[in-house]
Amino acid sequence: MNTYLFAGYVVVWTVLFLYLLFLNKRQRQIGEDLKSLSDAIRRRNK
Amino acid sequence: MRSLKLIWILAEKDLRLEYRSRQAFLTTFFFALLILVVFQFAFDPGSTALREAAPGVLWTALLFPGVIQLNRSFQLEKEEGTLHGILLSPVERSLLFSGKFLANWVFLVAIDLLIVVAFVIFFNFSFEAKLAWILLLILLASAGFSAVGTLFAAMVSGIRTREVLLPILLFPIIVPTILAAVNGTQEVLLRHQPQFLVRWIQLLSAFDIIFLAVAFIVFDYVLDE
Amino acid sequence: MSSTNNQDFLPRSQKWLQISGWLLPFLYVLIVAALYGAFLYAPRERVMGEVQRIFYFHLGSAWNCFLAFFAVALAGVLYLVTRNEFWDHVAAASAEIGIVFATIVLATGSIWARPIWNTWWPWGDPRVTTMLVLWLIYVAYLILRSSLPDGEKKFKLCAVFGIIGFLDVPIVWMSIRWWRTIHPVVIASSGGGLAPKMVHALMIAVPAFTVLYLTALLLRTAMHLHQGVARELNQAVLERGRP
Repeated sequence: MNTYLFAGYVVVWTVLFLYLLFLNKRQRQIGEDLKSLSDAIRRRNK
Repeated sequence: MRSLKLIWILAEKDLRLEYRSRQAFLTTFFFALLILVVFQFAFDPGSTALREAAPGVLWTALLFPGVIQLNRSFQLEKEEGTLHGILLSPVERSLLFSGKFLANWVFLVAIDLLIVVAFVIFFNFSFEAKLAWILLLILLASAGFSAVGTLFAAMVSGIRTREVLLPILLFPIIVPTILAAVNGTQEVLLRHQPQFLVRWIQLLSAFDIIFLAVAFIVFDYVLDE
Repeated sequence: MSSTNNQDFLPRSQKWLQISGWLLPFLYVLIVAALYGAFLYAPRERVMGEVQRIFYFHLGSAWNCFLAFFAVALAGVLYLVTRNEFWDHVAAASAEIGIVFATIVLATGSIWARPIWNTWWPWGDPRVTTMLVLWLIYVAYLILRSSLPDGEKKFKLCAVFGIIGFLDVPIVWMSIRWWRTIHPVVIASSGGGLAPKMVHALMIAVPAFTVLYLTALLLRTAMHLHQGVARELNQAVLERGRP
């Protein structure tokens, strides 16, 4: 009986954690976009 | 009056095109026939399980060919570049939607009637007056199906993956139509409880009215040319 | 045109990030309180036993799932009226978070149904099945999003689909309820009498998840906006960089 309760909360936290990981990945992508942008601008201004 | 005439002109154009080539009609009919046959092999022949599942099989056989037809209805226009012509002519886009909807609806009802004949033969039901109720279910269900389907077909017409995308978008939205059609057919063929049949017909009508109205209003937004 | 639009929102996005930062401490406290409420404060359910403690987080997710999908439709309407790309960012963020909540609802519901009703998937239950259809609709929404290049057309199509998807929810609900009443009912719906302490626990869990939703929405909308700005600037540099 309690196994199900445990499994339920494991699922809740796992899903939330996976979403956090996904957000983190997206955030890194944005960081890379911005970096390549600033590189491009620097190259042009040289 | 003028708009009704315009709608008819637009629908007639599509239907005439189809009548002349009969290409889509024959392929979709054959596809539906194949589904009916394949399901026969999935069950023991003549078993009660097959009879119980028959309404579901019928509507599955109507659903998939329907999607093919919907995809075609804008694809031909895109390929031939005729959509531009229609959009340039002084026709409101909502009327273009109505014309497309009407053509799809007539096409689907015609196909569905033929399929029902094949279904009655393959599944060993009898031709009796109560099949008129199935005709009503077909009229209502394919109206809702074409209303949402025509709108979505226009939406995905410019996307590379449209063949898969259309059913992905369409099937979850028309869940109520599928449920009502299958269960209504079950009442007609197997259970004979008129009060439930009436309920499903009411649900189908409500779905049709709501989504015809919504699609008519928002169609303006989905064609970009 | 749209580029100025996105960049106009940049200063404001800093504000959202700040707000979501302020919300975080509240979120931590509320989640801990909700856990306390679910596991220690709320009494053990007499019939269902300990498993029933899934219910608090289950319902908290369910409520916010509906909230998120309502926000998708609302943002869709606002986009079609104002043609401001900002509303598309909100819709995209909200749909994504809504799917996260819907996944939690479906998974916990299934785990709960197994010991109580002896079935992983109670198809006859209108709540479960409606939630599944909702999940399918919004996954389809995200697939539609990902198969279109950014631009006005994508925003319009997604707005239309978001609105239609939300309008469909009550009809799906009705149809599944009728379907269930006609078929033999295996599952008697529980609910009704909740002990007062259970209601209290629920009154913490639901706001806790609502704060979680709001925090995630602010954060994700800002991220979408920043992504849009980076994309546009990159394009501008590329175009002007050519001789």
